[in-house]
This record gives sequence, structure tokens and C-alpha cells, in this order.
Amino acid sequence: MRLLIIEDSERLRRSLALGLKRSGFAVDAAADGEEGLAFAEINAYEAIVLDLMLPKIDGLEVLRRLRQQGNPAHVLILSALDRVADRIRGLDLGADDYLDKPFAFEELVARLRALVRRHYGEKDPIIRCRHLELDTAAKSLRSRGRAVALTPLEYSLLELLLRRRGRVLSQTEIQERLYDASAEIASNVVEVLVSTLRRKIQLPGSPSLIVTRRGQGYLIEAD
Amino acid sequence: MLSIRRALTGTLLAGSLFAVVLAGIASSLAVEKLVRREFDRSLLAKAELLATLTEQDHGRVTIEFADEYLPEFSTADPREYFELWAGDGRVVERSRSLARKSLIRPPRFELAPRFSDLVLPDGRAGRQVQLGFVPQTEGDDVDPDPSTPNTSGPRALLAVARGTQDLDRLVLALYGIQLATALAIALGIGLIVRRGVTRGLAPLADLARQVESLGSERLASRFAVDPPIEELVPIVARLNDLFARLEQAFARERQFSANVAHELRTPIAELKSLAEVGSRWPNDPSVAGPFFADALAIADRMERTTDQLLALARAEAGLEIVVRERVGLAELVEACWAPFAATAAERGLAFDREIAAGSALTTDRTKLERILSNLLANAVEHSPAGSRIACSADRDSKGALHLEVSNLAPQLEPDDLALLFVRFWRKDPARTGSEHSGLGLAVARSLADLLAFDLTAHLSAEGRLAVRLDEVAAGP
Repeated sequence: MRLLIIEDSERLRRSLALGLKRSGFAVDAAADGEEGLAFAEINAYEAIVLDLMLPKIDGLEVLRRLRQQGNPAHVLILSALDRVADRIRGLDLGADDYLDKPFAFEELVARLRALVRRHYGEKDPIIRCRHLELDTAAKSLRSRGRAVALTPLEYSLLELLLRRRGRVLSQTEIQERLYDASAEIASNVVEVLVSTLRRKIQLPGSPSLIVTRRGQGYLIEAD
Repeated sequence: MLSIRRALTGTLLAGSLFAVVLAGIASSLAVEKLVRREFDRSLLAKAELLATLTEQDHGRVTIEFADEYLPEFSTADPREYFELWAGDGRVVERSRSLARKSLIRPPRFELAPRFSDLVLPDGRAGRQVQLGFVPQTEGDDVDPDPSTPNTSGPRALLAVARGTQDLDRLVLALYGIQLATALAIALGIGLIVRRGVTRGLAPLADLARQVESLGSERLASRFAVDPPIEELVPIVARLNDLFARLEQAFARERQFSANVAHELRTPIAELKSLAEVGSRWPNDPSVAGPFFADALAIADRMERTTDQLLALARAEAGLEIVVRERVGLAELVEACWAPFAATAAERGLAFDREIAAGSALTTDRTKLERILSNLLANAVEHSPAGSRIACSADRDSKGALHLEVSNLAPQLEPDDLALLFVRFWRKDPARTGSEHSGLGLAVARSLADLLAFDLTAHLSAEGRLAVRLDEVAAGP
């Protein structure tokens, strides 16, 4: 799941990006409103973490423009402005959530997971598909009740394919969702990733859950 | 607790009652006097009537008196009494009512009537008039003229007495009526006073209610006295003025608290996020590596902010102690510039000094250093790269020192000048990444006030900001 952080405090931006990446998100970070808008125009994000008091273009204006452009990303405002009027203004302009600074990192991650679920129209944090149960809160996978160890990237790929069940995802789309703009990616990285994931979730004697469509991409078919 | 209403009501009631009682007593005494005078007049008229019935015939005094015409002198009730004496003291006639008793005989002959109280023969209290006169001669038809009494011939003395019970009852009744009237008037005055005081103090009571209903959360309310009351208008004006100042002070206080909270929220958020992420992945070098440097930088920033807040609070509370010493200006400017020289060089900033050699003043070195360092720090941070910063000092004809730090400030507008010294004000409110809290110039101005300097900012048409430090009084 790919996130954008727009935050002018360099130290906060850095620690947030690090923490969220380690929590399984692909994260891009922008230092001001102008840069944030440019990122949002180029990439597709499930959620955007937005500070309000930003240089160049302030956070509320960024939000207004995002909504004007029809950007579907869910926006979580992360601000030191904690007055009720500030929250109302932000939510009325199209934000999906509001968190005051200082905040608990765990809470931010939980809220972002909730926003991602909402992005895909889901409420249950556990995604079930045939013999698999993916717990998006615990970031864990069980196959026929047994735990399966996944790397963060394998987990993110499986979550992406399960959330978009029945839809073909191209290699480019998968790359964009799993890797942030700063990542250096080898050309066959998605193929390798799909291959290792297949092996981990494959049941002996049954057809592969992840289907390859030649020239198009990959999908998990809907039940 | 003292009460204006009670004091006013008490005073007015006591005063009114005193006036009513005094008037009542005075009028009662006057009426009693009138009634008693009328009584005496009536008694005298009776005596004069008897005197007209008295005659002399060849030196002998006689009276033509018949009980049937004046029955009150016989046995009729209430009884009256008279006794007539000849000049030699012989009793000529006495009323039947006296039986064998006697009235008090005047000790000497006097024409003027003489009144006195006495106990009547029947034991009642009474009043007597004594009258000396010369009886008219028998057969003389001419009526005696009271103004020119006959003084020739034999003399006669007459005493007429009458009971005073009716008179006393009348006087008592008059006193009763006066008392009842006084009580009714007192009651009426009481009601009028109470109503008048309540009505008169109603605007004050209304004002008190308005004051009572106010709390710190309703400082925007203002008092009103409608219609305007002469005595209350200045009080209300002062109160409203006071509340306006209180409201401003509270607003400033709230804004200040909000600013402090906001200023500390960001570094706390940074620190918390850093610590939480660091504690979750303690072995990740990308997390742990910059942790200590970041934590130190955050702590430094918070320390600077709290230092400035404390400095501001101490200066505004008058707790800063000014220690004066001789300070060489050129040397001070160099010392203040030194920490910024490297940054200025990196940004291609030139520093021009125009300070006369040997120029010095007596002041608190530490505080002046702090002011100047703040001005230079702002100049280095906000000047466009490659521009010039200038620092000049001179004295005017009165010997007062004027120090100026100027630099190009293309981002500033004339309206910003009034805000430069406002606590926490920053041209770009989003500068959370900045090491400046927006308190520096506010602290500098407070310190300048302590050192008897005016700290002001001026923006030229070319966009050059000059911050001037002007000595208010000439130094020694």
C-alpha cells in the first residue's frame, strides 16, 4: 500500500517515513505543499498524511486542490492545530481523518490501515480467500489455519492482489503500489516476488492461486 | 454587610419620622394652646358678663343675678362657680353651686384678668379667672367700654371658675388624633421611602445583576444603563473600559498559551515519533543511526524556546537585573557577529560596519549582546544570498546612541512591521522546520525596554529592513 507524507518538519517526516515503511507501506515524503501536490499528481496513493501548516502551499489548500482534481486518496490530517474549528474545517474540505500532534505512532498506523480498508470498501481487517486468511492488522497470513512467514514485500503483494481480487494488476501497477519513488528496482523484481509468494501459498496438487495473464499481469480470481 | 439600600432607607425613615414627630408635637402644643386660650376667653367672657350685671348704688356693690338665666352657676351639670367681692373684701354674691364654700379671692385689686388653675369645691380640677373692676352705677344705661374701664367709684372683685375635664379630654383627643395622624404619615412615608429607594436604586441593582452574571468566559459582554443615569454613566464607562482591557488581556493570554502549546507540540511530536519508531525497530541502523543527533537537535530547539519564554517572562515581570559596565561598541558588534560569520560566508553575505573607533556606552553587556545577536541572526537567515548586511552606530547632538542593523528583506511587507515584535509571529507560519520560534524580537524589545532603548523596525521603499536601537536618554 502506497502512502504520501506531506510534512515540513524534516525530522518528523524522516521518522514517519521510516516507521511506515517498516510497517509495510510504500512511502513517499514531501517537505511542502507544492512538492506534495506534484507527488500526488504523478503517483496513485491509498492514503496521504497531510500537515496543515506547510510552506509554499498550506495543507488546507493542498487538500482543496486534491479534491478538486478528483484524487481518490484518503487523506489523514496530522496537525498541531487541535481546535475543533480546525478539525471541522479540514474534514469539511474532504479529509477522511484528523490526528493531533503529538500522536502515538501505533494509532497513526492503525488509522492508516483503516483508511486503506475504506479505500477498498472493506470493513473486516481479515481478508479471506479460499484456504488463506490474511490479517491486515497483525500483518500475518494463515494457510488452512497454519501460519505462513512472509517478507514485508510478499505480504504487501498478497494484500494488494487480495484487495483487488478479480482485477488484473500490471507489473507497473504492482511496482507503483509496493515501492516508493526512491526505491531502486530491478526489471524482474515483480516476477521474482510473485514466484516466491506462489510457492509459499500454494497447496500441493491444486492450481496456483495467483494467475498469470500473459502480456497483462497478475490476478487472484474472485471466489 | 453594609447596604446602601438599608442605609438610605434607614436614614430617610429616621429623618422623616423625626420631622413628623417634631411637627406633630409642635402642632399639638399649638392647638392645645389655642384651645386653652379659647377656654380662657370663654371664661373671661362669662366673667365680663357677670361684671356687667354688677352695679353700684351709693357706694354699695350689688349684682342682678338670676339662676334661671345662668343655670350653670346653680346645680346644673357641669357646674361653674363665681364669687363677687366688694372692694373691702365683703362677699357680695356667690353662685349657688359654691354652697358655702369659697373661691380664691384675689390678693389685690387688678383690672387685668388673671387666670389660674385650682381644685374646684367639688374636687374637680378647674380654672379660674379673677377680674377687678368698678361696677357701673345703677340706672346708667351706657354700656361700659372695655377699652376704657371705669376706674372711679367702689371697686369689685370677681372670680369665675369652671371645670377643665372637658378641656382636658379635648386636648387628649387632639393628641390622640395627632398621634394617629403621625403614625399614618410615618407609615405612608415608610412605604414611599421604600418604594423611592428601591426605584432609585433599581439601575444600580440592574448593574449588580449584570456584574454578577459575568464570568471570565463572558468578557465580551458590556454593561448598559438604560436610560442613562448621571451617577452611573461614569462608573459603567469605567467598567466597560476595564472589561475591554481584561478581554484583550485574556485573549492575549489565551493566544499566548495556544502559541506556546503549538510551539512545543511539533518538537514533542518529532521526539515521540522518533522514540516510537526507534523502539519498534531498535536494530535497524536507518532508524537508530540518526536517533541521537535528532533527539539532541529537538532538545536544543525546545531549550531555546523555553529559554526565550523564560527571558520574556522575567523581563516583563521586572525580574531581570541590569548590571551596567563600560562596553566598547565595535568590539561588541564583532563578538556578536562572530558566530554568524561562517553561515554568512556560505550564503555570500557581506557585513558592513560603520562604528566610530572608541565608541562606547555604559550598559548591560549581556543583554545588549543578546539583542544585537538576535538582530544579526535574523539578518543572516532572512537576507537574500549575496546581499549586504549593515551595522552602524552614531550619537546625536544630545549624545544619545543610535544603533542600526539593516538588510534586504524582500519577503516583508509594510504591514508586517507592526507584527515583527509580536510573540510567536513568523512571516511564514509553517516554518516548523526553522530553528526560530518567533520569540527573538519580542525578547529583544523587552530587553531593550530594560536598557532604556527603543527598538523599532523600518522598511524602505527598496525593501531594506532597518531595525533601530535608539537610546531614550543620553548615556553618561
